[in-house]
Amino acid sequence: MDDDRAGGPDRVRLPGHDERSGYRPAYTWPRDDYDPPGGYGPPGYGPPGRYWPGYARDGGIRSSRRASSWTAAALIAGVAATTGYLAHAIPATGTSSGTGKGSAHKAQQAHKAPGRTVVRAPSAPVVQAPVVTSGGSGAAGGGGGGD
Amino acid sequence: MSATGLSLSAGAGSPAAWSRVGVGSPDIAVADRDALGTTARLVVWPPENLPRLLAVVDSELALLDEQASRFRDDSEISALHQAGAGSYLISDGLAEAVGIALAAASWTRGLADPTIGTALISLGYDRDFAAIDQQRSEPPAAPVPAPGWRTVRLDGPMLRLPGGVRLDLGATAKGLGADRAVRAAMAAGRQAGGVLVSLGGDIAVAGTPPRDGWPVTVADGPAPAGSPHAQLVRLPRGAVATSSVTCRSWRRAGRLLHHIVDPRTGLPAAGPWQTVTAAAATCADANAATTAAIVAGQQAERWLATAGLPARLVGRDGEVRCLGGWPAADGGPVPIPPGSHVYGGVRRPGGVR
Repeated sequence: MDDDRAGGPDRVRLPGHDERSGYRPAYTWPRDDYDPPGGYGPPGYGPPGRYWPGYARDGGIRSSRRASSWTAAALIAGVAATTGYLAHAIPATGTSSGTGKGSAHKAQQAHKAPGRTVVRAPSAPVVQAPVVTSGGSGAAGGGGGGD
Repeated sequence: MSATGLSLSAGAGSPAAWSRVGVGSPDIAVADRDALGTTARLVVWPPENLPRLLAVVDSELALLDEQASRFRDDSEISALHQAGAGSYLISDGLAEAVGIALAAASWTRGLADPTIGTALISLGYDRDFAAIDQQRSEPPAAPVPAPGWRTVRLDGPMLRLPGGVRLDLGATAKGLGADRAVRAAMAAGRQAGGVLVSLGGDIAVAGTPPRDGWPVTVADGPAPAGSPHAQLVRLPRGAVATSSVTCRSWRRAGRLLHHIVDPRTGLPAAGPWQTVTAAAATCADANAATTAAIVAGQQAERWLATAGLPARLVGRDGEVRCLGGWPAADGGPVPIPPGSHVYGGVRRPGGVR
């Protein structure tokens, strides 16, 4: 297999490429530092200012940190509020449904609080007697095919 | 059960009305009406959903009747039959109904064939069943084998009908109607609860079932009281359907005929099973499977096993056979296999109709 890194006769090095540094750019800075020493701007950008990539990057990171903090706080608050609402709105599975007749009605009773009404989701009723028969189609007053 | 006779809805263009039926549970509401030549039953919980869902189910049943009833002169399928051979652009609803019938025929290898219309007419089933003279003295006409479902082509809404072919969608139409009705009811409900729709005992359910499933009696006839082989089962979801040669039977010159026709002979199926009940993910699947099993005769058990459907068969000699996990004891849950064999290849543009 060919080595992609091997320079062939048909390969052209880009300007500024340093063969000895192992494809690293000429400007380097410590990896634990966000900003390069002396600023971020490439030659020709002039003095540091709003138009510098470094300026934008520096300010962007601060803004992002600030926004992230607010977002996280908002998410935590939202999740807490939703959890609290659901805990009140949804009855526990299998608790009210085991009460037999009338359980669905009881579960669906409205709980009135000052300023709002919360309707609980009904739980499945217990039905013992058969509700219908499957035994082939008897004919009714009308017509139609059927089996 | 008791019918109160309470009129809940006049229905879509039909004089028949829903009647509230008491089943001994205050947590569900039940109503009946005549529809599609049989009895339609709607069961819902919570009960307060009933009035709104009656109108929804009414609309679905009325549409299906207008599309696919071969006993109405003004139905779409009757217009096709009157027009004869040709290619027709049909409604999306009828296209779905025909598409499901053709898919069922393919799945059952022609055992449930929608081209048996002429065979049924030759046997005397040429009008509403209630209007058939049950004891006519003249013999039926010569049997007419079905031309075969492969002679009919459906490409989207374009139906090509060969000459002399009359469609009868009885093997799938009630199942389709039940499927449509529960789907529409749940879409209209927009809240928790469950719904069951039965069209002549072909039953589809949707939503949340009662605890342990919908209690359903499986019988050897439409009335469990007259059936010596009734069983209570519980349906958690999906559908269950029953086909029986004991229903919709009549006499011609002393000969007993029934409506489940073997497409190969054009005669009433004469196998060893008089009643077959099957469960499936959809009612159209269950409906087609039970018809196919009756027609399959001696091969019914093998066909049902191949289809992977739980089923209960009652023989003409009274033998009861349970297959595919069908509960042997009363009150057991019916296992519902996933997936549909008949809806998969059907084009459904913009919904159901």
